[in-house]
Amino acid sequence: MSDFEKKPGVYLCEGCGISEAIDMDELEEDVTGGFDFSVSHCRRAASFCTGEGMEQLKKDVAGGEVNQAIIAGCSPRVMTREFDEVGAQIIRANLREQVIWTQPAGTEDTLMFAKDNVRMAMAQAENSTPPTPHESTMVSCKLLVVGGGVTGLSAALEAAKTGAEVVLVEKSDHLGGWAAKWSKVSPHRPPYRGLQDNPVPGLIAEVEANDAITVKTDTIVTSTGGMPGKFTVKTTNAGGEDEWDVFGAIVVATGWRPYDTAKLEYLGFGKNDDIITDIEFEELAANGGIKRKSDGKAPEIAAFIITSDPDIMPYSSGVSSVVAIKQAQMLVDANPDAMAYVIYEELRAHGTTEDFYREAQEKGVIFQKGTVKSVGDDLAITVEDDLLGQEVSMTGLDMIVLTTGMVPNSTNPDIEASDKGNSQLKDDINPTASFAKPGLEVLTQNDDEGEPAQPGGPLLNLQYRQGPHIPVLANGFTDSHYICFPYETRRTGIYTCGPVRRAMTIGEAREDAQGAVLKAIQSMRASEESSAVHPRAGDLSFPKFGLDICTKCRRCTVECPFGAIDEDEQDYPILNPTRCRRCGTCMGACPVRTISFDNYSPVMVSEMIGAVEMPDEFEEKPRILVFACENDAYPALDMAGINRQQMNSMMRFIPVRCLGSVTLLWISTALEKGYDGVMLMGCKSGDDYQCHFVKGSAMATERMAKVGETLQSLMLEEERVKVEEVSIADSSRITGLLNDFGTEIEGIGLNPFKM
Amino acid sequence: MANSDSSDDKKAAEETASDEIETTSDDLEDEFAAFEAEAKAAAAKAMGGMSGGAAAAASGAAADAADDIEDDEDEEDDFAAFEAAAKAAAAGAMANMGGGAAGSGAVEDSSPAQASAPAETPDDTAETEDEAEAETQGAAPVADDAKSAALAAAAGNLKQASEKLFGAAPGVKSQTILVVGGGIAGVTAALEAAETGYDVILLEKEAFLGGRVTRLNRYFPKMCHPTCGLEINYQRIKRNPRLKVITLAQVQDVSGSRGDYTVSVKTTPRYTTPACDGCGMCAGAVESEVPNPFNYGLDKAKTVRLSHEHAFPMAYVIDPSIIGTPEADKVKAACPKGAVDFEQKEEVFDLNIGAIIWATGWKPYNASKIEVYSYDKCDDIINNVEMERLANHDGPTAGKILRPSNGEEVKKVAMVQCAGSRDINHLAYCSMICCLASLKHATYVREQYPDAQIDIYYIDIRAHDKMSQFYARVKRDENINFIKSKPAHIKIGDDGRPVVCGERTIDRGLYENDYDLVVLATGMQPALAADFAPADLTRDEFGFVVPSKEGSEGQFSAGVAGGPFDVALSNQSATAAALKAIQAVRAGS
Repeated sequence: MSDFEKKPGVYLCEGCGISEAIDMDELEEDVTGGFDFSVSHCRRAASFCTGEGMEQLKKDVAGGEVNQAIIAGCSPRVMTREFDEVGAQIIRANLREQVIWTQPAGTEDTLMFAKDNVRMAMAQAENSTPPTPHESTMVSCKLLVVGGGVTGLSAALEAAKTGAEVVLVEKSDHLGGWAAKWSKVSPHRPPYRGLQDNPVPGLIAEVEANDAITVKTDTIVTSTGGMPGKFTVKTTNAGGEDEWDVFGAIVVATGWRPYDTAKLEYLGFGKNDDIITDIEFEELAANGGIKRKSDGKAPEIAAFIITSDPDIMPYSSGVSSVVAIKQAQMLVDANPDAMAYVIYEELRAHGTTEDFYREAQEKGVIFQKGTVKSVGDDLAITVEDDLLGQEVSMTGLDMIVLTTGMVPNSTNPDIEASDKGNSQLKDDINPTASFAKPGLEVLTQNDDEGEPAQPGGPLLNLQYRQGPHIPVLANGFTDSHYICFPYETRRTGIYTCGPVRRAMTIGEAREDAQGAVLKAIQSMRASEESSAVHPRAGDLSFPKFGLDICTKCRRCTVECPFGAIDEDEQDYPILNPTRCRRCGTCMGACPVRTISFDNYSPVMVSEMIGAVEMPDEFEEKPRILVFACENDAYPALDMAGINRQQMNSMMRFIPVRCLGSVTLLWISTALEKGYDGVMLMGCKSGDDYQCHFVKGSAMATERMAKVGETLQSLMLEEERVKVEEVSIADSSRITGLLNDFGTEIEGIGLNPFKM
Repeated sequence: MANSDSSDDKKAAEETASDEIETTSDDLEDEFAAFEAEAKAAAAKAMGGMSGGAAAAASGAAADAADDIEDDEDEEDDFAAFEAAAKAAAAGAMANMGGGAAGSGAVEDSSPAQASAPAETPDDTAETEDEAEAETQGAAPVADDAKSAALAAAAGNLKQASEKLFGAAPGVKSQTILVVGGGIAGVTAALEAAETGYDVILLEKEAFLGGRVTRLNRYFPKMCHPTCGLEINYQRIKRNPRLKVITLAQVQDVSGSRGDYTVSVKTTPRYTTPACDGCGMCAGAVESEVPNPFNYGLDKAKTVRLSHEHAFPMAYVIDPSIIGTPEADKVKAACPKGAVDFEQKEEVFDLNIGAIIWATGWKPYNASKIEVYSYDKCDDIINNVEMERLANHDGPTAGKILRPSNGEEVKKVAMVQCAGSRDINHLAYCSMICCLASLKHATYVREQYPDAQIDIYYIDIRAHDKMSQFYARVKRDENINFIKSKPAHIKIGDDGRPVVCGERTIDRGLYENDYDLVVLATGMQPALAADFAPADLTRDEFGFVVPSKEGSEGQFSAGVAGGPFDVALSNQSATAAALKAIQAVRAGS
């Protein structure tokens, strides 16, 4: 907001023991006279969060005297909403958790720490404005649902029920997907014991009767551009006709495909007509009854093998167990004289499915724990029986049914593979791969090289700089922070549900669709308001690009974890604001520091770094700058304060949105200003990464690994800059970590650049 | 209560929203032009300005370019100012760092992306251009026309469609959504609804949010910390004025129907007022202690306390036992803000609510009921939630797993699966999480004690999808033994150590194995019925809420209130519940 005329006021809180630990007169003197920064006024009160102090603050703001309130007191994590409601831009200087609770009271060092925190807050105020939201990009609040199976049908109906207009695209010529083939399904509602009717035909009828839902069968998505609130989507039908439409958000419910049966030859598949897959079993049951393919007779004795060879399938969906239990029940329901064996290594009958399992046992199904060693073409099975501890042979079987497992449809196998963006699928999509390796792929891998890991083309053919695919995590499933934030994908406004996200049953998929629809509608709401979605929900700031000094290095477009930035024909970055999650990774990536937010920028932090009063070399007071991830490391520091853990007085902290936003400029600024060391505290990287922006700390590590050369050129020791992975639960470790670094820096000696 | 205010707010918000929408539709042509054509033109202009040398771009041209791209005059000053500042900073860095060579250049050269850039550049540029061609020329004006027409049509329909989706429907008296229970499912449901634009009240019966998960040490299978996700959620709460949290509150009664429920809520006193900012001076004034509920009574806590380091809200709570003692006066005197208030009483008030989400969670199955496992007879037989506290740095032992009886280190530990679950005499269902929790506990012990031996007694290890890889990883540890057997009983040895007795399923061999610590993998039982059971909510024989089939209901469940779920599934169901609640309050009656 260019018309934002800054009227900063400083509010020094004396409560919570601050005035007992810090000489407030000296602190005030530093604010009003010691530092080149003009403020409307500097006030002191016993507290500003309540009582007269708060009244004064409100009065100052309401009277137009102050529009930037710099509040020096408790951590920004406390009294957040109370201060936000005052209506000014709030800047907090953390004196309580960070200073008086970690430092001895009344010392000169403690006072210096407090002064510096207030100075940094003032520099922050001087170099930031309240964020001006981007112009709304909302054009459509229509929802696109891709996939017409049980998940997609449910998603379409749920969205329509919430008032949305829906287009449902299905690649085959009919709705229903795999689930439509099943004659009976496992129970999702009580009674949990027996088979239940398939809900899919009912869902299809409901969708077809719903005026708010347009169904397009024989159609695939061939291009998706734009951004949340304004996805421009091209669909192409079997006749080759294109159609353009605009959507506010997209739900991807492309489901699964059965695991490649060629890999089941070791279990006899292909040797005998009566060795069939679970899908063939369903087809038999739905088309004239369960009969042998060889002679059309109903099987008297059948075995259901739950395949769980980790070399073939690294994950074992609980679904296979449920399917085997279901089909064994189907067999004995159809013919009470029939015998059904279920051979399993691990039987995963979770939750109330236990009743379904119990019912099967009561119906006479025999469950045998063991590993199948071989299946002969005469339908003889050799099982290493875990219970007996020896091999047993099963003969006289009429039919063998192999469960096949579910492979997520993260690609469309019916269309040609793209030669672009395969790194998004690399390692992860291959079911035989071990753990996923997210993190560094775009930094270290060429996007376009290599064979596609899994046949098939992109589901949405995203017209994104980072490629056409939706990035996947382990085993090809399109998820991200699957424990805490199960619907988070790395493509804002695009939410996945059903078996493309995680192997699941019909009942689970129907509920999963509801969650994805909620997130899709929420993202449209955010687009309307130009605000960020999770995890910085409500944030109105967005990165701005100063193109005059842009060198077109494309680092911002490549490193954005969410593919928010494209390139124009001239290779200049173009932001798609509603794709952006506001983490600042682009800002950290930019070598010429020309990317900034209204309230978070290279200049702002550089000025904060410079605002610290640097003791000269004769004072022998080292200073260490710590960039702390505000999601994990910063709260851990607060908690160390809450636990009153004492910490070295040489540390100065700057919270960062993500370690990915840390630019090398800040490191060099700090060293040239005379800081003796710099530490970056971020979240865990690697397979089980915890970064909320996917790979911020991985990128910081990568960038800092190269900072050594710069340091060497300045004749500074590499050890002065360090990256540490810190979790939020490290409150008892973090002060030790900092104190050790302080000792290390003291050992190295003072920065020769000190004045 | 909050309803009259919030409906006004909502009206105001809606008016603003529709204003915005109109603005957008009017400006559409401009916007698309900026999107497709002007950006290119601007970039070309900028390119022209830069041809002489990157950093030397004329600021006039650059400002024009920036101005064109943003299509917003107001931004010009900002941009110019910012650019000047950025340049100054960059120049400063250059001067100080590089000597002759540009600082930025030095940094750039050493950066990883730069290293990979040469290989990337030719291909990529080609691709980008091809793509651009396909979009703008190759696919011919037809595509462009079709696309523009689609955009225009969509924009034309926006206002009406948006009102349908986000607007308040008639016939619903209250659109406020009540979420009962502030554990992970309740917090998630409340946030998802509030961030979609609805007013939400979140009730929690304890003094802080987070419920069971805030007491966990780590989540399987990532072994990450629950407070990490909770912190993000608490930040979301702090930023969202639509969401109101009431702690120490329980539902007493529900009447009415969808769109117009009257919910009677009872709050118990915290004895500190909202002015409490967590400074802790009150706690410094007392010595008295009570069994610590946060640590399941494994240790003691002060009668005046912050329940744990990550407590949200960060406010102290006072145990009523000190009222009338000399300590009460000391506490009152110690608070500089006058935030201690012993006059607080239980309060009962009504809320007018449109839809209710029950996220009441679970309680661990009472292990005392499995008498043969001697849970009450030996301190070294604990349940799985207590194990989480023993391993937590903020727990009774500061994270060191020690024998509760004597504080000694552990060398031999047993995990007993299905302690209650899959047993028709206790919990007939599989609780789903206990296998994974025990695998996780085994890794806790192994991290702390490299030589410790762990035996896991199990019926089946139920490790689904991603968890199966976690299981495989744990199974590779030679110090962790899996014994297929449901132990018959646990006795206390002469030395006071627990002895697990039974028959191995595989070879029928009998065993009597003694341990330093036995962890009973107790199952999850729905907590819903314990305090208040809503009448018109269908529940199954185990007490889990059954989702309504169709239609007019306004009450839903989230998380373990609806079934034995892990955290991922709880969050999934909570997000679904938010949608159902929104559907309930936006539909006409």
